[in-house]
Amino acid sequence: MSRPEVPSAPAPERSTASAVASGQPLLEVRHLVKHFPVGSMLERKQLHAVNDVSFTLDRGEVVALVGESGSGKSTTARLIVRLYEPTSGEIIFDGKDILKSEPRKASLAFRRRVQMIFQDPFGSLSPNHSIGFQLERPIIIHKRARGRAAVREKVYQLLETAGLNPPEEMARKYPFELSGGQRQRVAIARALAVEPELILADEPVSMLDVSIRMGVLNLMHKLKEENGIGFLYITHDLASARYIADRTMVMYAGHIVEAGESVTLMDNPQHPYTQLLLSAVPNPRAGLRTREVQARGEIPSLINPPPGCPFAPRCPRVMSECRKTMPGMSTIEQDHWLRCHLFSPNEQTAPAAS
Amino acid sequence: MDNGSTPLIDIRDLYVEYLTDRGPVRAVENVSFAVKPGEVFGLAGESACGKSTIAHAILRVLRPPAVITGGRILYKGVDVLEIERTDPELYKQKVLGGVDRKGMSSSAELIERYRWAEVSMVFQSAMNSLNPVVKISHQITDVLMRHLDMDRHEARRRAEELMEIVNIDKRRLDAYPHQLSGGMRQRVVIAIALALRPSLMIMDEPTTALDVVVQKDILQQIERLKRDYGFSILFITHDLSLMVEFSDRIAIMYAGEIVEQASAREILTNPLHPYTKGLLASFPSITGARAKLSGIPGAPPNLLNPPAGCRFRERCSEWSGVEIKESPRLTEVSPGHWVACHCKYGRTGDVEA
Repeated sequence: MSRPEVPSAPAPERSTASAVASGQPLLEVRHLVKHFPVGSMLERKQLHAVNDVSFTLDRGEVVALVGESGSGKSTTARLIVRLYEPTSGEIIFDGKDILKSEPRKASLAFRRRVQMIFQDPFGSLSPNHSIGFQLERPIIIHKRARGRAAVREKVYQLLETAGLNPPEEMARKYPFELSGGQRQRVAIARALAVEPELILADEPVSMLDVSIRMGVLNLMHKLKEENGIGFLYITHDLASARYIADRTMVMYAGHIVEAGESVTLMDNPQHPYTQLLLSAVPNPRAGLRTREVQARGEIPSLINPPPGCPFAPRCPRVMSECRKTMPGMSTIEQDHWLRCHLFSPNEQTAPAAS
Repeated sequence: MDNGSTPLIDIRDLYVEYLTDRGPVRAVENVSFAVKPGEVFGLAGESACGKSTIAHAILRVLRPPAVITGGRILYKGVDVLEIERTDPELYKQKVLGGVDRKGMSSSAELIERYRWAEVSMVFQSAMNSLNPVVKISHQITDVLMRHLDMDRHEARRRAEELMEIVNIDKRRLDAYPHQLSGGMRQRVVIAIALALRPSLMIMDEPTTALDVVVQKDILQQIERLKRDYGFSILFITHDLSLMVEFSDRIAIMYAGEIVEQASAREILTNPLHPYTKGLLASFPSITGARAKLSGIPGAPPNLLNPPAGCRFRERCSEWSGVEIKESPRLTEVSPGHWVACHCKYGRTGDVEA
């Protein structure tokens, strides 16, 4: 199955991360919080979708955000592109706190530099316009090319980059004439039209047929390598995160509970939730009958959640402390950290002291 | 095609077409396979390869424009496509073992009994297969009252048992589907499919919409139920890694045809058809070294006008370039391992090119 002769294989080493000369990440999210008001007029409640999320993402780096449905991963992406307004927290893009510098809405410049790809390529393209038209629009709005001929040329270039050949013919087509994989490539081409530095890809392959998923993931990898684009890759599929992402962050009930270099994290998960998640991933080579899943249940209600670690009710190693406070970050090794009381230094070494 | 125990259900040379304005779409083409008692048989393939159409054909719920244009579906030795033309007594003897509490005489009754009491189905989307405005309890008791002539109290008691079997608190019987989580809804659907103790349960992507932890939990539960009740499962999914884990034998479908069939272990360790290899190369591993995977370039052919010969040819990395007009035949290359591929296992194409 391995194709070692292909040069652009995703390398386990973080080849591009070292390219960050300035030491400043492309994106830094600090203590991001989003509460949605729910309930009736008389009984106001808060749905805690994203709780105290902090992470960084470098230029030319693919960071995966994995978690089950309802864990807050899509909300996080939507907060970053300002589709939702955060309740609190900071979003620092290229050194600038954009919530302060652009308080009302994202500027055109920011929207050019940060693009999003959505899960459903059947819903994210307008059925009424040709592919060419849908790619021209961002080029014109963001002034990426001047004059009809130049815009045309750029459209063809984008289609070719996205692997849609022959471009002249593809540009004339309408979304209904394309397969799901082709449509998702159009969505990627459209994001690329404005020469972004960061692409937030929200489950970009989960609606595609399995045989064409790899093609789209490999395209993302190529864009990272050749254009230095950073990706936040949101997925529920851990195996694909391991495949494409330099680092992986595991999200549970609005919290990032563990993060690290993808292969290290998945080969050696420390947080009980990460361990549960990985034990549930189908792994034909291990066999279903050998490993029974340890913890049952599903993500708890996020409406007015109780204090403490959200995983405590399901956790096989729960302690009394877990039900009282949310643990802070503990670093295990470089780039590998988690939020779990089992690893909080003060409690682990001296449980009676605190 | 199988040696060993007699199959529970035996599909032979099945053809299904969807009649459209632009001509027939040949959705299922010359498909044969058999499921043995107590076995999990996997049918794998991508969307629109015909796997769900086969499931619907087995249950006899295909409606126009879908038409079965050929083949037989033998359930316990009786062709269920021909129930109307079968002697009811023969049917009762073979399928029901001579037991007929209801005194069925018409073929309509026999078909009704065949559906659900003999073969039941778990559909992909639980939210779509449960009625959103009817309480869970009624959706379960409905089946019991209709098929087993239970009164309301009996049926309620049995429904409570069924809920316990699938690990849901029986108090949730009075909930509506939207009040349950996705995993619970899928368990309810499984409970309904179990209600009449069928011999064969068809599961069409039973866990696709669910999270991995819930998926694993439900599959383990299905395993236990299968052990306890001894039914067979026809397991349909596009997720080959899940299927290899869960099934005993697997048939790989492409564009309406079975291209390879073997034990799960064989499929995993010794795939022979280029499409099977491509599918396996579409699932990155969760362990081991990272390696570049290619997937399969291209898209499946339009079944309105499928190419003559091998339907995978255009996407095949091992195609010799020789066009053979004939479809490749499933050939047994080693005991229990069947492949349909001209290039390697068929008659060599030079003569016919």
